[in-house]
Amino acid sequence: MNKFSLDDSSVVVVVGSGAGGGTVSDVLSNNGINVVCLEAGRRLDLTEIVTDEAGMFGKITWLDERQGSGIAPPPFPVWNCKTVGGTTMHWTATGIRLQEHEFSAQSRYGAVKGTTLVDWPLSLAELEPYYSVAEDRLGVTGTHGIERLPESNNYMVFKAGAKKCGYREINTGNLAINSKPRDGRGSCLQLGFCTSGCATGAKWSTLYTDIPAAERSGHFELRPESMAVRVNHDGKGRVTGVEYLDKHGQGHTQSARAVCIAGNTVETTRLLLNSQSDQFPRGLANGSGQVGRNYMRHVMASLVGVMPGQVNQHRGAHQAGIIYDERYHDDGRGFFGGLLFETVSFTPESMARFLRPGSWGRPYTRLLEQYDRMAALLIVGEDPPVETNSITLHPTRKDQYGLPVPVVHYEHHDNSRKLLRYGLDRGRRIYEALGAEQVLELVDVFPATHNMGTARMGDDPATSVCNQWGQTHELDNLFISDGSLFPTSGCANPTLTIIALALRQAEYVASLLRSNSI
Amino acid sequence: MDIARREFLQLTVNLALVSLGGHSVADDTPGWHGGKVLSDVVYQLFPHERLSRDVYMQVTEQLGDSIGQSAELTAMMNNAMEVLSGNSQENWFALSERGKTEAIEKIQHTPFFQFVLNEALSGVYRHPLTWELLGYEGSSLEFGGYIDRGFNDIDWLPD
Repeated sequence: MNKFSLDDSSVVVVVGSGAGGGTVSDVLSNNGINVVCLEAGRRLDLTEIVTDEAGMFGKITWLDERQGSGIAPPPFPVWNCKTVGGTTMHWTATGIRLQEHEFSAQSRYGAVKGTTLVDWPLSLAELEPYYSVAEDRLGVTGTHGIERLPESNNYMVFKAGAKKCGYREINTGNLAINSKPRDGRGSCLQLGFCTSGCATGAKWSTLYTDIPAAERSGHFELRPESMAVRVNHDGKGRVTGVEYLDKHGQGHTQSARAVCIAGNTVETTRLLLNSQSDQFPRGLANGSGQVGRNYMRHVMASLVGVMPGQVNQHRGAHQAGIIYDERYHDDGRGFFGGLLFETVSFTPESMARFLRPGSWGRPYTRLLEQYDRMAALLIVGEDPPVETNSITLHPTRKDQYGLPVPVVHYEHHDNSRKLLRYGLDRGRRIYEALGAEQVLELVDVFPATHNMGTARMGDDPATSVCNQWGQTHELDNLFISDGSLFPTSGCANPTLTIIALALRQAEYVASLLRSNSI
Repeated sequence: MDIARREFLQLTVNLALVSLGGHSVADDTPGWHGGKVLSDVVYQLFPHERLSRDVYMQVTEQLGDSIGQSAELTAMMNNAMEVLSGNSQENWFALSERGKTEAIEKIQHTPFFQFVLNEALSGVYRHPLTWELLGYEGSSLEFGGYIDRGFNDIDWLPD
C-alpha cells in the first residue's frame, strides 16, 4: 500500500471515491500517475453490508446537516452517501446511455422561458467509445453480450401491464449487476434492496472494483474519513493542494499537481464556494457565477399499484425493469424531453413513510396491509436546468467541520409539471390494465438521488464552469469529475454518463501530465 | 433496562402522581399511566388488529427512552397528555376509537406529535412481527437470496 507525503506535489488529489472519483483514481493510477484519494466516509468491510435498510442507512448515508427549500425536503434534500464507494453503494445500478438528442437540448427543444437549456459541448458520438468501455468495466447487462437479469414478480406485473398499454421496448434493463459471475464478482442472488448496498458484490460499486484496482497499481493511496474543506491555489491560475480534516478533526494540506473533485454535486459545490479567495471572491472557478446554479435532479415520482394478487415486490433486484417507449422527445405531447419507467421496491418502513406521508390511523394501516399485493414503479424524466435551482452556502449555520451548511433549493419548471402529469397518467394505466384496485401517486416526497448541473460544461467561460473535459475554465489543473458537469439532464439515470465522462477526463489528464501541460 | 429508560419511567411516574394531585395510580395498573396511554396512542396511529400489542409496547418503550432524555420532550408529552385525556388514563380508555382519533387530531400539528409519529412509524414498520404480518420477508442473504425462494413465482398474470 502506497503512502505519499503531504508535501509531495507530484500527486493528483481526487476528492471522493464514488462513480466519478473511483473511476478517475483507477485510470490515473493504472497509468502510473500517483494519486491520493480523499474520501469523507469510512471504508466498510464487505461483511458490514447487510440487507437491512435501516441499519445500512446509518452506515452509508451522508447525514451531515443540509437544508432543503422549495420542494426539496427540508431536513434531507439529497440522498447520497458518505462512505468509500460513495453513492455507488446506494445506486440501483441502472447503466443507460443518454440519447443523441439529449446532448443538444437547446437545438432540439428551442429556447424555453425560465430555463438555461444549452447543448452539450460534446456529442453522443464523442462519448460513445467511453460509454462502451464503461459498460464493459461495470458489466452492464444487455451490452457486450452480457445476459440480462431474470424477470422478477414486480417486473412481470410491470411488463404485462405495459404490453396491454401498447408499449414495446420493455426489458429487465441495462444493469451493472452480474447475471453471471464476471470480473471476480458473483452473480445476483435476487436479495433485493440494492439501495442498501449489495452484500454479495454482484452489483458494481467502486468499493470493491476501482478502489482495489487502484491500490494494486502501486500508485494510489486512499485516505478514508478525510473531509476536504478547501482547495488552495497560487497566483498563476493553478491549484496547489487540498486542505482536509482527518477523523480526529486534525487539519492537513495535501500538495497536488492537479485536483479532481467528485464529491457529488452538493459537496463539489460547497468545496468550490468555500475555497473563495481574493482572486476568486465568488468561489474557486466561479468567475461565471454558475457554480451551484442550474441544479437538476430529474423529474421523479413513483406509482404504487394495489394488484389483485400477490406481487411480493421486495423479492429481487430493485430496478431490473425498464420501459423505454416514452424516452423520446415528441413535440405532440405538450412538453419537451422524455421519461423512463423503472421498477422500484419499498420496505414496509419506506412504504409507510412515502405512500401517504404524514398519514396515520385505520384507513392508512388497511392500505399498508395490502403490502404483499403492491407493485411499484419509478418515473424518471428530463429536468431542465433552471438558474434559480441551486446549491448555496448558509450565511451563518456551520456543520461539525466548521463548514457552512449547504442549502439545496429546487422548484419544478412548468415543463416538469407537465411531464410529471403525463408520466403519472400513463404509468397508472400500466397497473389499471391488470385490474389494480387502486394506484397511488408518490409525488414530491423523495429526497434527490440524481444530482446534476452545478458546475456545467460549456465552451464559453462566461456561461459555464468547465470545458468538455471537465477542466475548469479558470484553473488549468482543477477538474470536476461528477454529475455537476451535466449541462442538461436527459432522462437516463446519470451514473453511466458520469463514468464515461470520468474515463474520458482521466485519459485527457494523463496526456496533459505526460506532456507537462499542467 | 438502561439508565435513561429507568429514569424516564421514574420521572413520568412522579409527574403522573403530581398531576393527579395526590390520587395514586391504581396499584393493579401495569407500567405507568402516561406509558399506557402513549402506547395506545402509538396503536391508534398505526393500528394493525392482528399485530401483537407487545410491538406497540416495545415501540413505546423506545419512545420513552428518547422522551426521557429530553426535558423539552417530557414537557411536551405532559402537555399532550393533558390535551388527549386531561391526564386521566380512565378518561382516555373511556373514549371510543373515533373519540381517540378526534383527540389525536387536536395535537397532530404539534412538534411533539410529529416526533411521536416519526418514531412510531420507524418502530412499528421496522419490527419483524410487522414484517411477518405484511408479508415482507427481510434479509434473504442467509438463505441464498430470493433467487430460489419465490422472486418469480407470480401465478395470476394474464398470458
